[in-house]
Amino acid sequence: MDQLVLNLTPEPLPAFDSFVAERNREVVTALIDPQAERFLYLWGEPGSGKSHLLQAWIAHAEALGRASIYLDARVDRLPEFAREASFIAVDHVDELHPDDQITLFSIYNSLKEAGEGRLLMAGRRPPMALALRDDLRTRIGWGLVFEVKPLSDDDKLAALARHAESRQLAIPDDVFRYLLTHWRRDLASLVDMIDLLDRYSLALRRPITVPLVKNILQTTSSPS
Amino acid sequence: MTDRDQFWPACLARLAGELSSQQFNTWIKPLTAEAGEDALVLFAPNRFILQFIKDRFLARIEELAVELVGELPIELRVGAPGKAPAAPATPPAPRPAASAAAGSAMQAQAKQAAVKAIGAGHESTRLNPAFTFESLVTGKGNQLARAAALQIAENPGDAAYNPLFVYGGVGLGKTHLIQAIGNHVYQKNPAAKIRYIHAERYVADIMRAYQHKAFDEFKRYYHSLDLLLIDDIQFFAGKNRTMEEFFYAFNALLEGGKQVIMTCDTFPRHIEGMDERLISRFSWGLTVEIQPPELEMRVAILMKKAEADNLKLEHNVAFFIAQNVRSNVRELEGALKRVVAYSRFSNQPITLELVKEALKDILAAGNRQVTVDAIQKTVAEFYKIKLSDMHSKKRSRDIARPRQIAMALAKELTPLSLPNIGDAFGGRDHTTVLHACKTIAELRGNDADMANDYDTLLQMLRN
Repeated sequence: MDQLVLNLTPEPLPAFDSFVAERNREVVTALIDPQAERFLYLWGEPGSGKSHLLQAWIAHAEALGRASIYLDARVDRLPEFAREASFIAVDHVDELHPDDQITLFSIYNSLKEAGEGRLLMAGRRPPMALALRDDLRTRIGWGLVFEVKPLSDDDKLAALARHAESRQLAIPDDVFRYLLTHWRRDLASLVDMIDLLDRYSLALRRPITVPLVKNILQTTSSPS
Repeated sequence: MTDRDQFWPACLARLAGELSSQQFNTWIKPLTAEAGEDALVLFAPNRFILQFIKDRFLARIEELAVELVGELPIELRVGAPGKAPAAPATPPAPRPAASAAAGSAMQAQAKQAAVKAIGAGHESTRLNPAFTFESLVTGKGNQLARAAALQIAENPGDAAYNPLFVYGGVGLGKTHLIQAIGNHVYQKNPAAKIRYIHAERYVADIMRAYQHKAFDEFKRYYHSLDLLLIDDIQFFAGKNRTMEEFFYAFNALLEGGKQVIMTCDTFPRHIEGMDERLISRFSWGLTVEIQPPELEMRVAILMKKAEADNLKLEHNVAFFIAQNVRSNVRELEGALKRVVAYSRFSNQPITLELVKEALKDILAAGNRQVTVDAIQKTVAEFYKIKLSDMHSKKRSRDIARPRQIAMALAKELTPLSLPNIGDAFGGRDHTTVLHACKTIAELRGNDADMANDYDTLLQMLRN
């Protein structure tokens, strides 16, 4: 019988320092610079780390003691009270419901008018290519816009190694490399897989090795 | 010959009359002239200005030469005249339309003082003190609207201009323009009851007033204003309660000789779902359009923005950004912010190289550059004519009109020169292209269907 695993894994808060930022250092700098533009928009491919950055930014705001809120247009409708916050992050703007586009537009305007507060948005496409209301789309392009570059394979290996280390897992490098070529390549999926491997390894009482990974990948549903 | 020496001052005087002051200050004033042996040499401070003069103004200057002094060849060079280094080159930075002689430092000071002078009472207006006529860059696209706005700022409530209805695409400076009126009125009369509000907020405020049973108060407040500025009135469409309330407020204000100013993304008749009574009232006063800024105006906007932020921006750098970011003023300003952020991040001065690096992703994204081929194809399909008709010599209207539209679109969406566009349409002359652009611009002003078609095509091509 498999060993039952007591779920004691800490839920790590996303933080800027866990973001492998070699190519995105400029973005992180702009996000934490209190003098910088108050309206920011990040765009890039799925898995490039935008949501991570948004959440890290919110954590950063919390640390500063600012009222902050993270909103995900993919999951929820935008609440009217969002405007009460002074750090507002809106993820997946490409998927904003038409009514929510008006809400965001209105939030944008009141922040602009108020002269304080910050708005960080993220989406897959550059502002000009967003299929949103014109008045909102141009406002998104009005602020500071960055493309978040996807991580290189080396960046991903480094991020995975760091993640494993934070969990005090001893995982040989060839496992990471194997995952990179045999599993989904975005960092979120890779990190999830490491966590899954951790649980398997505990349950099966076997070290994490390439053969174990192969075994698990075969039994896990194939990547969609 | 004295004739030749006098030509340039005379030519300057004529050009000053023909061009907008923005155009004149940006492009013509930086030039210095020197009479050569057999030609007049015009020196431009850099090759961007030279190129621009060559494309846009050289033909006109040559015409004037013929008219004023007979045959006089004109030569363009980069640099300054050799013999007169003492005369300092006029700074290429464009100055606002105000008198050029006045020291810009003094102007800036005056502006700062003005901004400071706007005190606590100003807050209730919800106006942004930075939006003034002085900080508004003027060009072909908005000079008419600006002139009307100035009139109203001087004489708010004048029946001939009441209401003022300003319409145009997003991000072209409608809000800036109407707030400039508000600020001007406030400066002249701080006791005036002024309120700027975005239509979306107005709708929400009405709802709240109902919920809190504070409706009478709401009504009293809006009916008591001296100047009401409502932005993006198209938000009222389909909201019957709001339209009804606004109808009463509007009537009360107009009857009392109070000024109402609105902006909208489209012509009154084209607002879908808007109350007919309101639509007809919107047209009682003056309706003006703001059009997208041309290249030179975009350059001027960037220079102005940089000046306001105490940034040193070289003309060629502004030119490069303006040339590559063409959609609207907001994205233009966004691009400048990006450049500044990158310069700060990398601790390097703003040079052309740095700008190219900073805007790499924006440029790459915009570089799904629209081609003439794509324009011809889209327009041909839209009007159900053959693609070959784009190049053909046929002149029947059902073919010529779409062809003209395609030419106008090519001018707007591609960086090609008029002769290049002419070539792409079966080797036509650049004057034919120019004629097409003018015709279409006119038609768009008079013919709603044409305006609609054009905007639709523009959208199709941009996406």
